[in-house]
Amino acid sequence: MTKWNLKNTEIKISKAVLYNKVSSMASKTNFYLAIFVAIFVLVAAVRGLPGNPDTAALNSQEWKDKGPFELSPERGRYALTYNIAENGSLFFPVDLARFATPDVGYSNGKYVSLFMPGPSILMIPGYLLGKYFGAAQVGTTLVISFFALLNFGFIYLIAKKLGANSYASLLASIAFLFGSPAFTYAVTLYQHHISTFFILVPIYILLTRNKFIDLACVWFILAFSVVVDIPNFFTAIPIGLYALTRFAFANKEGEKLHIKIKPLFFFTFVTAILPVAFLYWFNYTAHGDPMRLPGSNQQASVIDINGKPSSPDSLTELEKATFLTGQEERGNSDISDWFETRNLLSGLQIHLTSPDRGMLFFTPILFLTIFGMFFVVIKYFDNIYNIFLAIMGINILLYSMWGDPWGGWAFGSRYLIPTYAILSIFLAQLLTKFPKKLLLLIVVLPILLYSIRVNTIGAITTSKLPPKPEVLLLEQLTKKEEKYTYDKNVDILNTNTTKSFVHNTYFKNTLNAWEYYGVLYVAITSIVAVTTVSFYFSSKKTI
Amino acid sequence: MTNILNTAYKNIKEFNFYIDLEFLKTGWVKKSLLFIGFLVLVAVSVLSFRFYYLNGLGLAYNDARSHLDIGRRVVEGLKPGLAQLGSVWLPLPHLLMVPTIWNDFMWHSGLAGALVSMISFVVTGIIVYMFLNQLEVGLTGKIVGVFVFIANINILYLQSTAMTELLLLATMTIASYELMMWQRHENTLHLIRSAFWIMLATLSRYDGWFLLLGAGLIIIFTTLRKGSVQKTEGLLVLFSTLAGFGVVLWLLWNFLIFKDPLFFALGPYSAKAQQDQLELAGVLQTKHNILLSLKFYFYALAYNSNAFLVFLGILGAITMWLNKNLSKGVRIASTALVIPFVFNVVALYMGHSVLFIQGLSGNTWFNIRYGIMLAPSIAIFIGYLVEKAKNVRPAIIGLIVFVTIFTFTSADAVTIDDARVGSSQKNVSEVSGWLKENASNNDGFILISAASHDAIIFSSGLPMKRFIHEGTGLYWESALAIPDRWAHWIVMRTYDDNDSTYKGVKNSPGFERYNLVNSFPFADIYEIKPEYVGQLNTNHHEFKQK
Repeated sequence: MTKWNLKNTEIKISKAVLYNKVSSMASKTNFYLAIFVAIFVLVAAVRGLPGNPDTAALNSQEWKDKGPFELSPERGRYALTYNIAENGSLFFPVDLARFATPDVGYSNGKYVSLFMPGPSILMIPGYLLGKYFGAAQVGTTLVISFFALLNFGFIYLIAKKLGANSYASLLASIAFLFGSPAFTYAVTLYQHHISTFFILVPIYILLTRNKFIDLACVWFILAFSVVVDIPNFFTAIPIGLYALTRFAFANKEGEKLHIKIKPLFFFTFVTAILPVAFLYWFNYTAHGDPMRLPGSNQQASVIDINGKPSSPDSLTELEKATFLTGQEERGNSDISDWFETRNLLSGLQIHLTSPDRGMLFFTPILFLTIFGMFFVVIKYFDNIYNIFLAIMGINILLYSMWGDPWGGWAFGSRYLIPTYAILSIFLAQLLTKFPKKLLLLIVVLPILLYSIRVNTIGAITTSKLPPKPEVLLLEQLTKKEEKYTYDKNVDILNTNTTKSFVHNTYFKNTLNAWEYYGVLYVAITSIVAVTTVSFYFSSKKTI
Repeated sequence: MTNILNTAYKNIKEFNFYIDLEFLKTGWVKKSLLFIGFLVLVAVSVLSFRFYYLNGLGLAYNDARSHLDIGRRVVEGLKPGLAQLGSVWLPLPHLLMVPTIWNDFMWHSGLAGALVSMISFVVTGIIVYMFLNQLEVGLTGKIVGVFVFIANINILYLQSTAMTELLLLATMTIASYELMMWQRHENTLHLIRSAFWIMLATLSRYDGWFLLLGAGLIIIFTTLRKGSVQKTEGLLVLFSTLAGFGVVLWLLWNFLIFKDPLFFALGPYSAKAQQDQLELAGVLQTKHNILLSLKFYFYALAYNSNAFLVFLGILGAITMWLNKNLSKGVRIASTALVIPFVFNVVALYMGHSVLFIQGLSGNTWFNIRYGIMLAPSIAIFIGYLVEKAKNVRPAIIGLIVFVTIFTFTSADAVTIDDARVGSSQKNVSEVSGWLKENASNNDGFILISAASHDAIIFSSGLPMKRFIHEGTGLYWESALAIPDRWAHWIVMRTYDDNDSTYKGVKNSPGFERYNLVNSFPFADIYEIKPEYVGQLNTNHHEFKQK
């Protein structure tokens, strides 16, 4: 009897091992397949035109309104990349400054970028590589796509590290990259994916490692994130505090407070000096003052035919005179002026539920995850959730206080891309931990597919959706109906137009715009379907 | 050598300290914490008053100046006395000013009124702490609750003025606290105390009347739930006798002074009269529109207490009311904390109240400060949330601090905008400056309607006894009939029958003996022609009042 039992156990164990091996292989295959699809879709969707345009070409409508540089944030960052790579200078020549308007600063009689330098510097290798292959702008934009792909991977890794099912983690990564406006900003020249990367990487390091060198990396990344975009300073705070607990923390143990300090770890801060020193050098070189941030320069919205900036209307006559000499001491804005709590109510509404930018309309899957997140936090708490909640809270609150919560003309709420990343991690947890899987999938899947549809159309058409309050004025100017929701993207697709580099260069004559969209949509939804089925069966089977 | 280095490395690799927290539980520490809290509240209160006094914003609200004048008229003027308390505004805030308003500095600095608000601020802060203490909230939750209350920039501003909101908040919060204590300890003494504070609330602002009604319903509901009708009756009578005393007194007062117990509600200076005019002008948007009433008041709440904190407050309230560890009675009694919300929405819906919110009703503000009424409640709910959501406490506290910092860096005090640029403000400096310059060194009375121009009276800096207004009895009646015997100057809005001075003198033959000497946005000034100056009565002792 005993012998029989023993044999049976052996068989069971070998079955379990085999099952685990097979399921692990299947999971890995699924992941690599998803990565392949993600690369395929990103490359296929990336916006651009062939060629290595010079400043004259850049100023043409073909490259600006009709091309990949339809909005000023893209132009401003590309201009700096171009200028550093081609001219080795931080000061824009007039033609390049004209290309970058209205987001050009005017400091000490010279045109400078209004953006933080980080993204432009990181994009230089892409620019050079692209230039080598005769597509400088595409190469530059692919750097952003590369960061987006890394974010896709880190969401998967973090979600898995926190105990999520690997298929659920993959679905969450897909929801982030293709089911939210993160898709559009993965194929255009914006800094949001780089910022998100600099949030996800330190979190992953802190979740998985605890050595001196790891913390040193964390401080370096956090400091460098500010060089990418100033508001990253605020999202870095909770991560920094979390990192700090690795060598200085207080814990209540019974009736005693235990304070533990590892003094040597304080030396890890040294690595933060490098990015800060670089920023000081950049500010000093470009603006003549190490403490002067790019965004605080006077804006030269328009440049006249003589190459001189038209002074901003907001200035007094005296300030205008000083401005035109390029000798003004300080810009007119202070960081504390950029964010006002009075805007909070309308800002929250715009980011969350407005038809022109709201998550509810542009990424309903992640909007609904906000509610699912409560289930995860309450039922399956993990300390890291404090950091997640703080990052999301800061991200949403900060940009709700921002004077322009719409983010100018944009597709969805682009400022909330870090929030989409965190919510995706919660989505993975929700999928894994919610007890009624089938019911959840019945709700989640259609919403996910709808979100992917909206964002795929957005990615390959335009980010140029006006804020709702501007529409009436715009209609008076254009004498036609102006749409401010993603219907505008559908209209563009209906005119058989996309901004995809691959479509316009290689498939324009073989696939119309809708068919091209169909190819991308089917590619994404296929991997969603495979992953969902695998997820469902993997969660049912336990040995 | 290596060993020494290794030992040294190990020693500096990690430091461990242990602090015994037992001392936090000792009685003196607990008392000290409350005392330290009290000192912090006092310091914040004094510094805030100083800040707004020095920048001149403390008197920005027209109503603040009117409140101070009402208090002042009780002790000084042509006909001082309690009758000067008037009929529109409830009397308690003005009565509490009386001990200090006689002093010119206290009157003109606004401190006589602000002192009441400041004391109320400190008391409310302490009650927030005590309320949370009774809900068994730990030290962190209590500190966060008090912090949310005292870091509310609108609270800090209003507590630095002679406005009446802080007094109402103090009385209502104490009343709610005692009501909760009554349920928690089942001690009728707390119910009596609650009734007392509700009585004071009913004498502070009309919001208190709704609290009286709401508290009555809570008493009926909580007592009937236990099944005793007789006990319910008894408690209700006990409660109502004291809590309703203020209301009865006010009705009686109106009857005795103005011959109509509802004069405050239906009289020519009542809120209803104001609302009727607004309705005629088509700007009473919320009347008979419940959704818009809810929206307007929610916006007012969010602008006064920060949208994010309101959201946290709602979460806290839900957490509290769903927590079965709290007795049902305590949870029901705690609903008293949201009665101001119900009152304000109902008042907007009924058309008894009006709010102008920038963006929703044109480009102006009016009465936006009504949204402050839930500030202590939100503080209590957030304190409770922080206690219950222990796991995510660091994130919640961090985000509270985050938005609070930005509230101050962006100087987001909507009540100051309401006072300075909204419909609540009147820049009367030109007209009051003219009076100060021309009337201070000349004899003679100034005929003016206090109901319309109290801010001018206040800002002129002239003694109250120089003014003949509606509250001066025979002076007023005589001056309207024969102005050229009584008024050296007449200040009024010409051709506006809402200005009772114009309405009274426009047909008087004596009015022809005046020259229009200046016109300002809010009033015109008439001065008696030089040839009639000699016949003026300039000394109030010559005139015997009824």
